[in-house]
Amino acid sequence: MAAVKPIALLWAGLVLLPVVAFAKKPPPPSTVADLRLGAALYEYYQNKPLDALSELLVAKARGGILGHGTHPDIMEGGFYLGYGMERTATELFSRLLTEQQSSKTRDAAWFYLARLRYDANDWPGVEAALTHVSRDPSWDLAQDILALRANMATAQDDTAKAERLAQKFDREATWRAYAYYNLGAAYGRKGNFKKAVDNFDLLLHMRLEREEELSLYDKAMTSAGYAYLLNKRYQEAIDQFSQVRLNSPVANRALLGYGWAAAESQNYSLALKPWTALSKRNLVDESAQEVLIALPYAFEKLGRKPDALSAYKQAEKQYLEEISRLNESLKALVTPALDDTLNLPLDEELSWNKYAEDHDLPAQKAYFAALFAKNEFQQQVQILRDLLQMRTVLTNWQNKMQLYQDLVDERDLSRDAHMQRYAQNPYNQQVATLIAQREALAVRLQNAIAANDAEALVSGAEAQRLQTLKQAVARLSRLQASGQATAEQVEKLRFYAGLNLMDATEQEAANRYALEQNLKIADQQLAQLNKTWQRAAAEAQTGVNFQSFRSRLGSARNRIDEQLKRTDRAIEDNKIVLRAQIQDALEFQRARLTQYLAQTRLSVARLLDEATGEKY
Amino acid sequence: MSRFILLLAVYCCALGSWAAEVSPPSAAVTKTTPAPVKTPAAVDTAVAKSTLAVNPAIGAQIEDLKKASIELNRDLMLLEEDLLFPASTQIAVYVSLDVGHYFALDSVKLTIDGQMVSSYLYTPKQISALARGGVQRLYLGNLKTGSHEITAFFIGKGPEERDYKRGATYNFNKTQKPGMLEIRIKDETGAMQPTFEFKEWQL
Repeated sequence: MAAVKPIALLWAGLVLLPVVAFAKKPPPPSTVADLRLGAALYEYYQNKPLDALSELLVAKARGGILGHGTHPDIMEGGFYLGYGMERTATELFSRLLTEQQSSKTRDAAWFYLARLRYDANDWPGVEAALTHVSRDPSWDLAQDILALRANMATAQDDTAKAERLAQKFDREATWRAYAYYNLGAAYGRKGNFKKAVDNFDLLLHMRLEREEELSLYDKAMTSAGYAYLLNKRYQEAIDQFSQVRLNSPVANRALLGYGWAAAESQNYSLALKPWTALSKRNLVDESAQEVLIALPYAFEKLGRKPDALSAYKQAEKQYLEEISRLNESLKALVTPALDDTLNLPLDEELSWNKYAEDHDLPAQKAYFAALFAKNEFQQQVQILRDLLQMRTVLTNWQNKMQLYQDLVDERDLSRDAHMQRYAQNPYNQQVATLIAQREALAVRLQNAIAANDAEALVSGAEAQRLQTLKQAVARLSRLQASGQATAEQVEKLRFYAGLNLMDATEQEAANRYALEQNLKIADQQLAQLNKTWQRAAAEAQTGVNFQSFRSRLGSARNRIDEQLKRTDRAIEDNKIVLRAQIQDALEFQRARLTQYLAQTRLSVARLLDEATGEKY
Repeated sequence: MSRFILLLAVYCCALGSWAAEVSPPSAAVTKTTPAPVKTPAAVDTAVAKSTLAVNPAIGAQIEDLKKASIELNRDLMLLEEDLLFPASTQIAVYVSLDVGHYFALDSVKLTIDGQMVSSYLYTPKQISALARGGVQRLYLGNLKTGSHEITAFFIGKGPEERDYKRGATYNFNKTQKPGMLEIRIKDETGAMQPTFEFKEWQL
């Protein structure tokens, strides 16, 4: 007789699987009122809690997030929870509750505390926290509280209370589907399959659209199918199994159950259909392993013993290959290949199934899917991922620190050179020279205008000619005094003087404009000199800041080095724990396959014995 | 949107699978199959149960480590900002998305005074983060005091899935205080078109 796992165990395995995470109804999109709060949220929604928290804390250090009351604190607590920092979150919420807060904030803080206590199985603590929530909380919070109470009742095996609570959910609340599923699972564990099916079937009438909701629906239908199977209502079981999507994570279990329901109703031909399909699926799956011995069992029942023998031999071959692959995986654990095995992209959400599917992983790695289905293992892997991400961030900072050190040194050197130049040509001397030149120009202009003296405005060659003329006039005066000047000389000089005055008068406007422009240029030069000097003075002051930056950079480098050492130690410790867990899981898989292999070989021997006429 | 809804949404994301309720295996389920040979399934429930749970002491150490890392990261970000983007010259440009029925954002280019300073191609996850209320800091840099012209070019899909490219320009005056500009992508229901609004924020 073929050896298979009892259906009850499949059923138990199904209902005991934790319900997948679900996000509530997505909030209507909108911008938040403060950019820095929004920037933190932007990081958080990309599954980067470290960056989100850092953004939030930078904003607080810069003077807090404006106009949000204590909401940033609640947000910070939520971020801590998301980053696996329950103790810090508890401290924050507890502190908020000692301060004067709005009822909305207090409600949120009490609810968070209740959730934290729920995780610690502190049921009285949960109730105590929830009694502090106001009588009229927001719609979302009211649904969350209901869900928390319903889950707690289920966890305490009080299905009657959980059912009463489930009926109170608003029709729009996504929680309803989970509440009904959890209730069905709870009734199933208590052996009340009718009530289990009733609750699973409630999902049939709900509008479920998102992938996680559809997955929950598949699980509910599969669970209901097994419940019918255990109640010997085989056709109903087949109907339920038929509603499971073939690409669902529970499709293999549904196919196996479908086959068993058909086999139980003696319809072995029908059983062969789902089982044959299942036998072609990846053997890492528990149901796919089991079906390899269920299939020949159906052949035997149909009297097709040669087919049964052939199927058993094929099963034996496949089991041996799979055991060999598992042995290779176990050997790989001894080497540092764990890093590679768990090398999920750090910026992606943790989903082993999706990762294995997207990256076409070797078969042995797919065995980790079973481990990833366990919350505790996921937590441990998440810790490793957080640590690896921390190391990446710290290493990046380490590299930046050297760059920043160089930057500060360069700026400091540049400032020194600048200051030296100014020290060599003192500011006061430059200013005094420029002011004297400017004043001389201004006086000259003023006098020329007052005396209406066009010749006082000339410059360049004209000024030179005027100077020559004045010298000639002086010499002529001396000659006249000694009686040596001729009338011709006097007349000639008078002619040239008149000519020069005429030229100066003609050029007066242009010369005056040029002089005024020179005055403006002198003013601009003075302003520029003043500005440059102020900048130099400011740079002299920032010398103190450079020193401060050096000190901060030095301190930061030490902190980074220390934190990196601590992180590396934690990573190594974590890997040891993970390696042990993976080894346990792989050894368990190998034990199960070995058991199937033994059963298969026994069946092969039995069929061969029957064929040769031996009876025991 | 009620901000509280947003907070709770964050909370739900943070908690992950808290809807799960896990109980010990029930001994009440005893139905057997036509082939009742015992399999090692009993081992299933015992898969390294003792090694799976996270050790509380280690958990506390990890939390301390995380806390120290967050604080260090904060201090380093402050140091970096002080060093590279002093308050007197700092300018930050943010992008937010409000509703977005008429525009599916693909990428954005940003120029200041004719010089391209940022070009960004969004992933679906980043678009989702924007749609849920997150605000992206598109650019952080330095600018001299005085008037400047900032132009953003948005590329994506507009109404009826048509390729859509649109530029928006804004003139602003940079003072000695840090400058913060938000570019809001909004829906203009009347025209069934997206609009791109600039908003200056004061610290």
